Amino acid sequence: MNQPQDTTPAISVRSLVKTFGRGAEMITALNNVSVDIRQNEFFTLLGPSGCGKTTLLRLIAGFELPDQGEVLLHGKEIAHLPPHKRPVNTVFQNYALFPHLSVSRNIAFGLEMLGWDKAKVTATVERMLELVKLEPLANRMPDQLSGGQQQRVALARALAPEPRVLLLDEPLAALDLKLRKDMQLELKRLQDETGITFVFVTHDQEEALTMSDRIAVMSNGLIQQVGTPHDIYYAPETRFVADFIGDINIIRGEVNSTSDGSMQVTLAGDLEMTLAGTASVGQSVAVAIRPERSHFAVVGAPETLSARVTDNVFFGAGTNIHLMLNNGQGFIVRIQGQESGCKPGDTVAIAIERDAAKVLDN
Amino acid sequence: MVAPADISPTSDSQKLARARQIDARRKRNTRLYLLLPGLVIIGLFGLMPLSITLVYSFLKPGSYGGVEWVFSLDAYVQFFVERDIFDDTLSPNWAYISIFSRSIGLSFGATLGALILGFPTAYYIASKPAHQRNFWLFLITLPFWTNLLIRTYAMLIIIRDQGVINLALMNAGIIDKPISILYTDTAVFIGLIYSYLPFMVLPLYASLEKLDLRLIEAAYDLYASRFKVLTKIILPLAKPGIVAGCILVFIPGLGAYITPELLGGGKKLMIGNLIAIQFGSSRNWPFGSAAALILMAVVMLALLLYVRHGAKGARHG
Amino acid sequence: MAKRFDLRRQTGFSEIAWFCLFALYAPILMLVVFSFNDNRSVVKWTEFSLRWYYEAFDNDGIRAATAISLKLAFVSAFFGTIFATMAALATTRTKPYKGMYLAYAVINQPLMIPEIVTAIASLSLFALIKQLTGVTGIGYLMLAHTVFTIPFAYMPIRARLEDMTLTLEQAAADLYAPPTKVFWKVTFPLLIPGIVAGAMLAFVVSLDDVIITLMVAGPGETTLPIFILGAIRRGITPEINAVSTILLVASIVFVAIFFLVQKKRTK
Repeated sequence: MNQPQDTTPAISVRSLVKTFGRGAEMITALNNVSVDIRQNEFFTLLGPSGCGKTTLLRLIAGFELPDQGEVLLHGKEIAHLPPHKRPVNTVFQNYALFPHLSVSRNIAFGLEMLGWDKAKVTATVERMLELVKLEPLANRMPDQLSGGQQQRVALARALAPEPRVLLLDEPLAALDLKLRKDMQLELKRLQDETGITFVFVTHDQEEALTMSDRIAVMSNGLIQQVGTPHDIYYAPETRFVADFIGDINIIRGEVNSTSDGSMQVTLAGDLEMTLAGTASVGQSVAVAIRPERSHFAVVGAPETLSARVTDNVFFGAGTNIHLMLNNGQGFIVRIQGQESGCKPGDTVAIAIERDAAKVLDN
Repeated sequence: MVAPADISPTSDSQKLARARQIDARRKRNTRLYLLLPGLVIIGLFGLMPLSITLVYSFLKPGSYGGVEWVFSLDAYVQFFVERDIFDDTLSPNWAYISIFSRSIGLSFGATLGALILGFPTAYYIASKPAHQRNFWLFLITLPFWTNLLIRTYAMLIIIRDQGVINLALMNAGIIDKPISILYTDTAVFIGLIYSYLPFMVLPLYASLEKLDLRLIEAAYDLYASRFKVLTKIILPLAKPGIVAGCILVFIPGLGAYITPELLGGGKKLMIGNLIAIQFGSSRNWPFGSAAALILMAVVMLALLLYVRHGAKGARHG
Repeated sequence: MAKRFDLRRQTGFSEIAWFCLFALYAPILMLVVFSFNDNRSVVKWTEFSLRWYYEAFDNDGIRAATAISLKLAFVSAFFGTIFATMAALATTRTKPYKGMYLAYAVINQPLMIPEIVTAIASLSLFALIKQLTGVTGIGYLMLAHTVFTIPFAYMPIRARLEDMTLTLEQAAADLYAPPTKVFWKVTFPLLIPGIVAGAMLAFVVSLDDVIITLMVAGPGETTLPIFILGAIRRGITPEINAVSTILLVASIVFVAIFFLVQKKRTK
């Protein structure tokens, strides 16, 4: 209580454990998960299917009860409450619009359940329709709407009761690529306009990077890393995060010497660099480097890795040059355009940008 | 009163445990109350009668119907053997045994007949475009939902001596006097197929509809002829449907009452009529009960075979 | 022009299919056509007439039997559908629980027992109750019909429920609807087509039942099918054709409603 209101997390999850099934078939969906989601932020839970991100969302919404742990909403414990007693709303994966109710009746549903008076309900429904730009479709039935329109109704319906937190369970997964891109911007706009905390679940890393203020990357019921899109992309902490987000080179390094918080590491037996991190001397570490943050240099130049070209793969916006390092590991350098100036069999030198190499935890 | 000691870090987990408990109890209670009326009424007026029948089958018949509360195995003995009223010797009771075996034979024959007609029909429907399929299915199922008595009666009108079939054949000069079909085993046989054909087509269709066309393509691609495709690909894959269809025709066929009653003319009895007569004119309720239980035993046996077979089919599928 | 090679075709199958369709409908059509024949014959057509329908409507026995049939079908379909709906709600969309399969078996029990067995078993029980209590009346028949309409009503309701994902109910709960409101505002309205379909089937099977009614019905409880059976035993008349046609049409109308409602479901 002595904390100022504005810094209380919108959602605070403490040591949450959730298992499904029993005995040998028991699956641990969440394995002691803790995370704070700040007020008014666009927070994304990102991970492959089965990583526990949807389970976490459903525990916040109240569709499941946790085995252990706490869920605090603006500092108030809600883990034991049924969904209808939680001031959070959900946008479901397949929208879950009530097929027997019109667009405006769908949007009004939550307000009616909360017992708002008629005039206020009508006004709010109109405001919501305006917000998602669906005024002309107020009396349509859900099956008369396109996927994108249904999506907007689902959003309006969930935003109408002015929830403290809006939960979105892969809401864009069913849309085609073009529409998905539009809706990403639209969602961002809605979040800015309403100032409501959004908790967004997706398995699409690009979507997560585009929209989020912060991202939690999950795998195997654990949160691997929480950070801004920039941190997650350029400073992955674990091998899983590095692997899951975008293309990345992960090469072996030998720790030569260490000093306070940094260490000298020989990459691929070839290039010595100073990297942040702690490890013991002689230990082998995994080092991650984004393909677009390494470049070709003059062969024989200092501070380069030498490699042999194995293949050129053009992918439209650029070309990936596949290389083999001296220690036999593969490596990819990404260049703009199609002209790489090298062909399979050539020997090349690779320079790595400052701070581009990250030592991974495991 | 909440003691201050209760407001500790564990109070949240206690709340959670309580919430879970309440949730589980609510679900359990809801289920119970929802199931109760249906289960009670079926239990009292569906299952209880069966136990009464079991009890009655071990009693002696009352003189004006009903039962006399004296234990007796007569009903079962009577079904299989006959006691000579003069010298008390026992001999097989051919009358009942023949009714029983006729029932099984007719029902089995009708099952085969329905399969021979039903399989091509189901296959043909499954090979139609989707919208036509629904229409065909509707046409095939409709008779199943219409009154069996009336359908049997309609069949009776057609196959009797003065019926259309005989009249047409006589008018065409093919025969000069009517062929008597009515009140024969043939009439009952035809009637059973007619009654239960939809039961055969529906499960067959269900399994044929799921058949992957690519498998047929693959078979043709590997030089199979049309006939080989049928015997090596389609029939084996449709086996669960075939078994289900056969069971669905055999069981009601075995217990048929209306068909032998109308088309067999009360002369060619099946077990269903035998049972009914015991509760009507013969006034031998224990014997009727015993016959009903024997019928049920055969049905259960068929169902058991089906469950075993069905499970096997699913594993192969 | 060469016919395209049809992968699915099998020689003679289409002919058999058409034959089956013909064989299923020809007798019924004959019966219906000759119910409009102005002649005692049910074979030789003379002239169109509604006289057999007038005679049927004038027949007190037929009128009484129709009234009893309808009353019976309404009552048993009404209760059968309610109980089936409740049971379907308790046995679908849930993890298997202790006793669920038993409940399932009990609900479907009337389908697994040959009707003649159910008929004589019900007769035995009811005779016993009558003997012990002296209570008589059409209530017994209503009870017997309700029992066997339950599994028929249960089938489409269960199917409909299994097609409905739990997400909609969760969405309602998420939007602050307490459990009872979730049921009446979401589950129930969405279930209505299944319930209507179930009620139609229940009504038809009750309306068409012969064997159980034959055994259980007391004096003065003659239903339409029982009346027809008795009439057939006395001899074939066009009047029976007329009554039969009416009953057929009634069944077909209800089954057609069932199919239409079901079709909506799959859309």
